[in-house]
Amino acid sequence: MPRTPVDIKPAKPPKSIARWVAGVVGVCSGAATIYGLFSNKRIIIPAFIGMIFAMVLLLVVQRAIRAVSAKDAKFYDLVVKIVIGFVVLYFIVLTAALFPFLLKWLTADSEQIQHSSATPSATQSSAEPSLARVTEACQSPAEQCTVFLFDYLNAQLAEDEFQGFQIIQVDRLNKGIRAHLASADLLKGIDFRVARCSATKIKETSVADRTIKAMKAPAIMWGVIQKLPDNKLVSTTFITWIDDQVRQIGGTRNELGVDLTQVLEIKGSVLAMASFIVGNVHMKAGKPEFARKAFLHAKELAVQVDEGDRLDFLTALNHRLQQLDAQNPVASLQPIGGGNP
Amino acid sequence: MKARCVLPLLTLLCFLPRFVAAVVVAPMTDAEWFAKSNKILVLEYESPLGGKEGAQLSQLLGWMALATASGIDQFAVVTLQQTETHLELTDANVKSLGERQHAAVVIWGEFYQQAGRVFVTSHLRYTPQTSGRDRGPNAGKFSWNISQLNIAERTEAYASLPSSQINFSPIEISTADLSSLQEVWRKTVIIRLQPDEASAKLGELSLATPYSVGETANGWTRVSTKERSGWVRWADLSGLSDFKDLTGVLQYAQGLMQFLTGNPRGAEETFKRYLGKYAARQDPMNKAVAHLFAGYSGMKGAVDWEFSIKQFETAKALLPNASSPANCMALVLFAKAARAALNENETLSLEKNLIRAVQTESDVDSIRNLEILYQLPQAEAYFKKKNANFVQARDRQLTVLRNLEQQAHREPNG
Repeated sequence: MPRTPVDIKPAKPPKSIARWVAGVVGVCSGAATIYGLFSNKRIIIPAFIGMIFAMVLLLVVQRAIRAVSAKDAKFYDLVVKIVIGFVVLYFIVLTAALFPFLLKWLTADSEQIQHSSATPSATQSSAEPSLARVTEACQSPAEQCTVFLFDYLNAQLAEDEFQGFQIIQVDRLNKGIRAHLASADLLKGIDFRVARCSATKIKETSVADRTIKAMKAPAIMWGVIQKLPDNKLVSTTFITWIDDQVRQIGGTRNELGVDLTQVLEIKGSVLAMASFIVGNVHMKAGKPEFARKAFLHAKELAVQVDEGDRLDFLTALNHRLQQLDAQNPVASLQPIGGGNP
Repeated sequence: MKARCVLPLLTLLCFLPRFVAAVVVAPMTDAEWFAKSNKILVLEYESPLGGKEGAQLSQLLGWMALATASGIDQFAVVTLQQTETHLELTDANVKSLGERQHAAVVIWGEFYQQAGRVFVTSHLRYTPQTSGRDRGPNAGKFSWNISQLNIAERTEAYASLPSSQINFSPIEISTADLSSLQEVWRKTVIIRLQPDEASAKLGELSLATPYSVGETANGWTRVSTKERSGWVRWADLSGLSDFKDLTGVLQYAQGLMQFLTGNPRGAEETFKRYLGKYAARQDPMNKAVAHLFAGYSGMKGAVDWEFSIKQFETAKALLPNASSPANCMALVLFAKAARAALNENETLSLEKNLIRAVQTESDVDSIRNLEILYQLPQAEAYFKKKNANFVQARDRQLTVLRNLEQQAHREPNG
């Protein structure tokens, strides 16, 4: 059918739609970048790329508006459409990737609402737990040296599965750490335990800091349990501990796949931390030889502490060892044959 | 007349079945079983989720220990099960149970189930002094007679073990599900009249009934009580691929029992086998103690200094801050010094290692061994080469060390 002059319209760039798309993508990517900066650094890169796309889109739209009356208007119309299509596609992929975080965020909010109920249970949590309630519910007997493991944040596991995980996690940490310390001959009468604390769930380091100060425990452990698309459970555990100040060892990731042998073998920062705690107890009890042995063992294990926290951990350890060396009557004993011992 | 009486008695003794081992499964609260035997105590494995499998696992382990044991006189296995009042297996409780049974070796552990599979972690405690053989201040230590070295006031040198507890890496029992474990267990408790699957069933091994374990034939083992005697099939256990990883735990225990009952050659071979086959996945303490036992058994059995030195050096590398490998090295070098010349490197390196052990742990054995080293005539030349004023330097060091030794006696380590 031949076109009439009415059908022929000048090529107008989709000004408003393109600007809206670019604006929404820009704001969302910006928000995701900020979230990523504080919570998960892996999100930053795709979010940042999204922001670049949004800016490119805005620039192209601006050029297209200027060129609307020029002869290359058709070309800019095509470019704008391609960029819009690409940005929308990218935005959909990014949203799908961020969906679990969004879901977790939404569920965590609902847990805050549950906090108002009178009796605490294993599934309850709060952003700001009642410290009095936590210290009352999770007390260490005087003769024990207890590290508390708080119930993990959980948004995906059913209650039964979550309780099963939590029971095994406490048991393996309690028995595994104790067995390691006993085998290294570090306990020397210390009743070291890892005990479960279900009075609250800890979401962030600032809450962990306040909680450990209130509890007066040598360390607390907390974290998050997630289920991967292939149904594997992944736990991420943080340790908040007190030396002269509150410190963190963060983000030990454990994949609970079909083979439990990897998980049952306690390794890494948890053991280094436990040795340090035991060393502190011996030091306070006036047993410098036992304390030194524990600190040296912690130092051997320090290579397994995450790189980001290792320096902080070694600083604390070396400080303790220097304190002990200053009081060691045989620190100056030197080999007659020369060299250092 | 007397000879006529003794001869039939001797003949009768020769033909009596020779019971070399014994086994019992009993409640955890029981008093001592098999008072004069060399015992391994196996405690019920625990699970945080409960279940009977822990008791069955420990029974199987006990029977496997008997089925695979060799070179241990008067051997017995006591398997203890939880009663209604659950006893938490803390270090103190494990120690107390071992002492009550006078068992030098105690095995216990945990198991976890996931998706129909069983994961097991095991621990072993070795306290030779609880067997009642030696209860002096140096009980359970490695020692070497150094009277030939003519050191004033010193006739023995000592080295303690770095730990009395050994942990084993978690293993998976590859049975498809727990019912297989129970199936295996059910088979092993059946007592038959003859060593044959088709033979009449006499009954089952029962709780708190001690059995003497006699000869074996075609994989069958004779078990007897005062009332009856029959055959059980335990040999299958050692061949089961499901339990092959547990064999490492039993081999460790066997090596310790061989060593304890005066069979150092057997112990050396057992620990060599263990190190070759099972040690790769284990933690440094587990491996180091096995190397120390292999090395010390080598000294006792074959008097192979170089083999022992190599074993102790490996242990030292595994436990860089422990005094035990340094003290073991002192023992082998003192032993060597009584028969051959020490070299300069060995002597100077030993001094450094012992000083480090003294500084780290204030270890009494290290203090004494360092005192011995400074008085060793063979070492004097090497020290003089490094320090012209050796005699004065040595006297100063000896004064410090003797003060430390006295102090350590006043404040013994817990």
